[in-house]
Amino acid sequence: MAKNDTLKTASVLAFERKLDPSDALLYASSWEKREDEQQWQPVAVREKSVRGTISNRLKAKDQDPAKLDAAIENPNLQTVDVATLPHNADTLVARFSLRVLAGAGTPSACNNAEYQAKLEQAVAEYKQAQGFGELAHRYANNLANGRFLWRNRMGAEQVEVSIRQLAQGKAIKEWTFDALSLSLRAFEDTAELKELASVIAKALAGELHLLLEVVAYVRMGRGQEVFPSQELILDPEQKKKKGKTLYHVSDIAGIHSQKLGNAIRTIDTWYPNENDEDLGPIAVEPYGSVTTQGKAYRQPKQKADFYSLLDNWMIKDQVPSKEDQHFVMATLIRGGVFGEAG
Amino acid sequence: MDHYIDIRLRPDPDFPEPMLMGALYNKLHRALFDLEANGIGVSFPLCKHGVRARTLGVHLRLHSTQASLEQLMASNWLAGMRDHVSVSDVLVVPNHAKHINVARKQFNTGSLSRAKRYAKRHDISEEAARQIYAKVAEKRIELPFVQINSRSTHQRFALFIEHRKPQEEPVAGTFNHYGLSNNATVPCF
Repeated sequence: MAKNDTLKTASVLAFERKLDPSDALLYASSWEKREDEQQWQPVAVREKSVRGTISNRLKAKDQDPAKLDAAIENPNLQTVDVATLPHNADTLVARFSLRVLAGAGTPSACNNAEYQAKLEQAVAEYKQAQGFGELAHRYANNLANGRFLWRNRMGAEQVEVSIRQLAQGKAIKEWTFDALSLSLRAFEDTAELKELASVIAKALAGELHLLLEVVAYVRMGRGQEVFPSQELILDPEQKKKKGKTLYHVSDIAGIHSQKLGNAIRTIDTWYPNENDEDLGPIAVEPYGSVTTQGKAYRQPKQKADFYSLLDNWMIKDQVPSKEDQHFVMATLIRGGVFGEAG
Repeated sequence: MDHYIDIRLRPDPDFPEPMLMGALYNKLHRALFDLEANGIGVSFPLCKHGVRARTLGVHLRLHSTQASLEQLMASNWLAGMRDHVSVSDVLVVPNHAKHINVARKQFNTGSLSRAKRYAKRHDISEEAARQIYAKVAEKRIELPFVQINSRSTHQRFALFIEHRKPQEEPVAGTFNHYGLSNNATVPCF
């Protein structure tokens, strides 16, 4: 293929996210009556004050012995938020909706027509050769296996995920999954998953309008602690007042839509893994960053990050491997502002 | 105590090790409680002591007889954790093993309720009792711990775990629903 010397990356280049979850709201129910929505009670966030000794692991900079003594002399007085199931309910119900939008790979803003044409051609070729089947299959797995429940999944005895396809406010199709029987590390291929994946693939390709309602029933035991999203408090004064603030929407505990989105797009198994770490999939991020580990698995040095792959593809006509094409497309579906800084 | 099972946490980008170990240990407690097991012990071969780095590590070892371990594993207690751990078969303890006692250790952390009780018992003002207990609260604890929800009392508390010195001879005894014992030993190797 001829080398393209004139094409430049657009300075304005943005993509809307194509998987658009709402916040999840948390309710309590009993396992036997879980499907009776009338019986759900909202899970409330409440405050409690605790006085503990210093028990957290100290940061490296606090390890100076003099400072350590000072820290330990301050008894650890804390007010924190907690959320638990009430004592008459053993099941957590988490409900959210997910819109799947058409036009994956079409920028919402792009100031370079030539670049946009090139991009659309590449996306069309990807659609032709691969289709959205593989990505949809992985997204479907992450809905069915309840990964979006985060810590709530771990403590569970049973998890059932029910996914309804809505049209004009009515369910026209419903799938039910036993989430704990599905792996978080491998993507599985049951008949029901195939069906769900195929509607997601169709929606991404623009052949279908898709709105899903996802309801997860998590049996954890009466009175057990549940884990809504934690709010990031930046104001140091407020931070002093409370050690942990949990997210809630009009007095119902909730999980942030960002957190749901992150779990659903945890499909990247194509990142370079030199030490052969047994890590499983990571969330699709331009640099493959995993915040809990403070590590980026797709380093620009190795040319494995989104920007290197996209530029090579668009500007230098170096078509990435099939796996990296999946990753690039998944990043475009994730959305973001990818223009080159002036 | 002649058999064991090794459970190791697999690295996970989303969850730090202490949280995973906490979830695993809570599940174990729930299973031991439901089975009313009193013959299953635990040890944490990779746990770390010291104020600065105390953690139970990534390795939980279950000790018991072959039959009890098989009964425990048949109860599917790991549901929900399966993807986060790798589990060995039921294995035979090697001959050279020593024996170690793994116990819960409770600390007086100078809590308000303790101070209140002290005040009542010694007939002094609550304020005075609180001052006495303020010193106690400064104490630093070097043992690794895990946050546990008790199955029987529904209390949430920090369970501090002490691995005592290995000894030549085993001591028989019962284990509580946390797999801990004040006197009985588990093999150490």
